[in-house]
Amino acid sequence: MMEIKQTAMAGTLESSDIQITLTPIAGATEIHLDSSVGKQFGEQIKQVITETLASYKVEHVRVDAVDRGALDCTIQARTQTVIQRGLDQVDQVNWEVL
Amino acid sequence: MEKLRRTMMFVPGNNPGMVRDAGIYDADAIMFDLEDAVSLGEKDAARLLVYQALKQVDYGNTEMVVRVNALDSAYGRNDIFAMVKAGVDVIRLPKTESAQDVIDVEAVIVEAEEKFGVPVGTTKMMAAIEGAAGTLNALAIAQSSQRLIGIALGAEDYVTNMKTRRYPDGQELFFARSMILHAARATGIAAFDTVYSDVENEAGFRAEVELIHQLGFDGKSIINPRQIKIVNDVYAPSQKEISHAIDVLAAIREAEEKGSGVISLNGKMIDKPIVERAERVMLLAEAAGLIGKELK
Amino acid sequence: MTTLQVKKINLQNSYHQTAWQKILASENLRVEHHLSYTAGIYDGEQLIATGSLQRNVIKEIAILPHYQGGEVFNLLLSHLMSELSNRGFYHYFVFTKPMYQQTFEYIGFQKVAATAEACLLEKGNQSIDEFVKCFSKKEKGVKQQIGCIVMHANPFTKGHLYLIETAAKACAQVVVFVVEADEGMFSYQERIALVKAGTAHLSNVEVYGGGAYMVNFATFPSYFIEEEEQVIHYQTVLDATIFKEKIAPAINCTVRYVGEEPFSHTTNLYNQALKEVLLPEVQVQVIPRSASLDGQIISASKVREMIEAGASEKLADFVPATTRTFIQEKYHV
Repeated sequence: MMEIKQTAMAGTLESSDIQITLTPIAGATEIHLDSSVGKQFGEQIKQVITETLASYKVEHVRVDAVDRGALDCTIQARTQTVIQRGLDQVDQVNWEVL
Repeated sequence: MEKLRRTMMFVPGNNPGMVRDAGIYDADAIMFDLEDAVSLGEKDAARLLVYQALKQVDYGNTEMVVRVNALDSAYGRNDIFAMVKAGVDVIRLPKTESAQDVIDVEAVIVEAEEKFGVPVGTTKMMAAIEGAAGTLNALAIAQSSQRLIGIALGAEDYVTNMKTRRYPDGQELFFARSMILHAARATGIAAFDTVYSDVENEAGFRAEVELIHQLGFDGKSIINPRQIKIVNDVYAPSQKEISHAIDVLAAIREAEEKGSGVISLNGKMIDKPIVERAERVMLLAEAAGLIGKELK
Repeated sequence: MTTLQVKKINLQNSYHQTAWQKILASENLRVEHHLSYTAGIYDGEQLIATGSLQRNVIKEIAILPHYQGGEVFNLLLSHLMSELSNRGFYHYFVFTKPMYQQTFEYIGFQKVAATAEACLLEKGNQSIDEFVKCFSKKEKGVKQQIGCIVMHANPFTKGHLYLIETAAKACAQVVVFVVEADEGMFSYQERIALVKAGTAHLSNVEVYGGGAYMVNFATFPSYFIEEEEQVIHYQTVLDATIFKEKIAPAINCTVRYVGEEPFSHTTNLYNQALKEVLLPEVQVQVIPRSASLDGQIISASKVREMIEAGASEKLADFVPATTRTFIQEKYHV
């Protein structure tokens, strides 16, 4: 398991982006999503975030996401960015996971 | 066959909306920027965004270029690794001053290709020349790697280095443009002109495109989709040029059918430069929608 | 592909400062000082929007009318939020007009409290609902007198002790919140430790950090001294509303104790706002100041003055033994 050391944020509130904040917590992972595309794609967005967290073996985090209509590739990229920041590994890209 | 590179559209690497939509404007090439358009705190985010976009978004046949950060920054090496892994067509080096700069980046590309199982040599390169030293070394830079598809002028840094600024008539860029163009032509690679940042000034932009077209540049770097049509208009061949090219190509076919080694048109011999020129005119004409594919 | 650019505004440069003041004036915002960061959005050369940070508070948002409604707002707020995270703030606030509440909720902010004049929203890895969980009383509905005191205690004096002891005699339970903002001579960690040490003998007193929610504007008169009364009024009413709606129900608070400040106009306004908002659900008890043996009014500011002047003679009259020992160790006074 990879331990998130610090709260981190990635992404913006601009159209087609998603802003993701990651906070370490004691309990099981929670995802809080606020989306402009609403219920229609909510589950899919959470799915992409969940899979990306799993690929890094990240557990015990609270995810706060504000979606502005991001494509899956953007959700993936922003989740990966926030994880790398939370792991304090911005300059050590984890090539195996990408 | 030569590739058309009339327009290379600069897209900031950390803007998901622009990255997503970059393919819809029919630029000949798209350049995602990880360098000057991305602030220091967002380099990691932009790298991953462009990486995922290259892997997942369908940009058709557009040539995909990424401007990476310099190798001596904290980001250059990771940028190159990520882009090679994503399968980018071309890596663009910023602020190239010498042949060694190109050789150094190529070594990292080779390393990345080997690490990710990409056939060595797949990833192409282009070098941007943005200062006095690079301009004087243009020929050596152009000759420095088999991977180079072209060299480009980056005028904003160049004029600062030269202690001047941009002027509407472009006199301040004349020497750099000429050096880059000669180096490109001497080595058979493409030459790209710099950006024109005043998006609102269409007349000024058109005048600059006419100038670089006259000089012989392959194309121009652009920062707004609105600039694409103007470049394509200026680069579109005239009816007279197209008509002549059709005649040249017909003469070639005729000679081939006859099994004749000598090609002539209207009593004049047609040699290699004339054939190349005709092929390029047809390519431009087709891209400009002036002829259908069947004529080729 | 866009002509809009986000830049840091250097307010030391009078050229930028003039443009910034102009755009604030056009949105009827007052020019504030003590800002830690100011950003601007430029369309070409023209400043079309601005926003600032003061520690973890987003302030001074102004956008020219032509650019309002979406894109520019999102661009500006995104920039300010990444600046906040670069500065290590992952929990932040915006203090705004009620008409903008929804605009901020749309980008993920949550309301802390709202009054007719102002609205406080927050976003990030903490929230007021999480905060109150730390000290929530489980046994709801028990008819007991529960008192509450919010103090800065910079440092903890015999005056503070007197206030707490008075409340502790009258109430079954007293909850003391220590304001967390680190602005004064003593750090938050030092202040709360001294409050805990000085009240250890009182079995019905609990001491907690006030989190980000008990700013207690009255303790920061220097910030607001130049403010018009109306501004002080809506800030104090908002503070009191947070207490009434979020804090008091969590601890079943029935009475809020405040110290009398005969010479502080701001504190009087604050106490007045508390009464206005808290009554009748929560009583407000104003306790007169206690005096030292020779009749001097005890105040934390006098204690700080004595420390700065190295005048130790009367310190023991002003502060409890626990605080006295700490001052001796830290300042050798």
